Amino acid sequence: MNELASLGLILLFALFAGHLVKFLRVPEVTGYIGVGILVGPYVFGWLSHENLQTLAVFSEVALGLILFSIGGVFEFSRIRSSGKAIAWVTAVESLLAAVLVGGGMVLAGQPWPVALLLGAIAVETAAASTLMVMREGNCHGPLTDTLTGVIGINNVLCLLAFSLVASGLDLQKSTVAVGGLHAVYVAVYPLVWQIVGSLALGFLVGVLLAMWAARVVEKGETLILLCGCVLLCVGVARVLSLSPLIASLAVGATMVNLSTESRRLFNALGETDPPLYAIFFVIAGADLNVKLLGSLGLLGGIYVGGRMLAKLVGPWAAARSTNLPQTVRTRLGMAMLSQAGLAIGLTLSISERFPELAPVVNTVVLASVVVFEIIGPLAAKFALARSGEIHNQPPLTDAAF
Amino acid sequence: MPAAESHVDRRYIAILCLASLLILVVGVWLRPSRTPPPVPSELETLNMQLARQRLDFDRRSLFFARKAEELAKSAAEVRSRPESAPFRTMVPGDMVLLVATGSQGELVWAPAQTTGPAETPCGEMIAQEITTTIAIPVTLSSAVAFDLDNNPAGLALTCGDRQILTTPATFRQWTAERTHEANLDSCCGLRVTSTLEVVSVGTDSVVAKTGLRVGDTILNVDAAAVASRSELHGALTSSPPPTVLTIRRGERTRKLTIRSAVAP
Repeated sequence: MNELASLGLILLFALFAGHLVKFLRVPEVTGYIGVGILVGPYVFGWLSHENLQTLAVFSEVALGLILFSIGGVFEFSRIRSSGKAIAWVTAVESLLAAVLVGGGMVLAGQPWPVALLLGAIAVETAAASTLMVMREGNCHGPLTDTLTGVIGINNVLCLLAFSLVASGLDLQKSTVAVGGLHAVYVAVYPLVWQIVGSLALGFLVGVLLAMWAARVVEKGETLILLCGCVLLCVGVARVLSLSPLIASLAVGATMVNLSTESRRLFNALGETDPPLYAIFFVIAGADLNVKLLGSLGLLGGIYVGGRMLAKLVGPWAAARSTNLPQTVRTRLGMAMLSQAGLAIGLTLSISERFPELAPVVNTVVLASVVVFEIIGPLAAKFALARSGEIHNQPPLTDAAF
Repeated sequence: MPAAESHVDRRYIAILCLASLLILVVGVWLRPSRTPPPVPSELETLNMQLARQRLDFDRRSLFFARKAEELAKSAAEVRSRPESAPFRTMVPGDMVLLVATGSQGELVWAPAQTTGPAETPCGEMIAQEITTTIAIPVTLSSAVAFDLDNNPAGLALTCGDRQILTTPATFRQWTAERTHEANLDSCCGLRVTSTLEVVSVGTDSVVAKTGLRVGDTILNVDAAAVASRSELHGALTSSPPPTVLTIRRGERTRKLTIRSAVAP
């Protein structure tokens, strides 16, 4: 099947899944992912690996737009009021996830590099699927605000943790092989460059967007401007070996703080991007190798169990010492179970940089992603519904699950 | 400008933009080079191979030198009490280290490799042929060979233009045979094989007068059967004249008489 036909197929299947999930009262994103799994190369094979590779550009754009939207929560006024609490909750839950998963792997007899890499990846919470659930439910309220902020910082922390671990392993490898100051430089450079460079790029594109937004009035032009800036950001980040994720986040954060037009831009984006998100999630589902579920084993059990425990207990324990509302304390963790985009991206990086560790780490992560992408959106919807923050349908009851 | 509509001072934004640009430019400039190293020429490749071989050789030499120092004491023990040492049977291709004491009392060593089966003949002796990567000096004859686990593997000897490995028992037997051969030659001018077939007879010797010829096989001395050079030498020197030799010449058996006494 050629790429255009597969794109059409993806959109139509996504629409069908959307109707079906409304009937089943599960999140749309779960339907998209489910359809993706079915039509993907691992089940029916209607979408081949080559199709997915060609369509990967849509995923990158969609992920850039999603992170751009998340960046919008980093408004100075909001950070001043609840930023400290959000940062604290994110730090605790991220650290707990890394410690529980990494420690579990060490206890299971895995070598330190494997334990550290899995610990770092376990930190991530999927921004895309969680945000999609919130948008679908037209969610607003304290849990939605906190969750959006936590996910934004969480993804940066995950990337930072992974870069730190990868630099350490690179350093160990290169000092054994060559030694000297150059090896340290080569190992540490990507760590600093990915964070500082991505923020700088995001800031520049954000300023460009903010300056131009005031001159653009029409909705169509607004969308062209938005897409142009996000595409430019993702593309330049790829060329400069920066993180498109952090850069897109920085674009959103910059724009929301510099432009009074930001709300209009975000609304325009929200009205027109569903097809792109549908493509993104169907492709994400098609990429999930469900056959890996059989290879989960003890290590997969430790990863899934440790991460779930950390995500459920961490935010609850950390939020107790903050001024966050009760509903946030009790339900934030449940809304943070999803894991996909960044984790999958990091497995690709592991295959390139540490091919000797890739078989164990990637199998565990990719198999666990299947589990988390099935239960994560359901749990997020349940948490948001129980908090009364879904406004387009009546709150769900326990019986619905 | 929209930036003016926000509460952030435009000057700060400009400074931050410049700083961001600077970060990107400096970051790209500082990026570690990932260009592949230039492909070496054929001559450079050859030189590198030679250097590597030289390095390997030096490392191996150092390894064997250290091992030889460790084994010097064991080699002395093997030479002084060869019967007590259990010798390992080597298969063709096994590496051994020959350890000996040089003419000046210095430690001499050479790595070697067994090249033939353990039952290779060397004259009348059964031994195993070895070759060395380093030429064994003459002083290394009867060096002690060790395998790489420090187990004694035999004695190294020079057999014509070959180097051989044999057990001390075989070596002692061979040495004794050489002694008896020399004794027979000096007493009787007689040279025989291990089966007592006559190889040469001295023209002025006592046995020459009996009519003994090359090719005859000596069977008895004074009716007593002899089977080796040592028995033959003992019988000839202890028997008072006349001494009767029973020999086989072709298909026939003959008796020859030595009239005079044989000097021991």
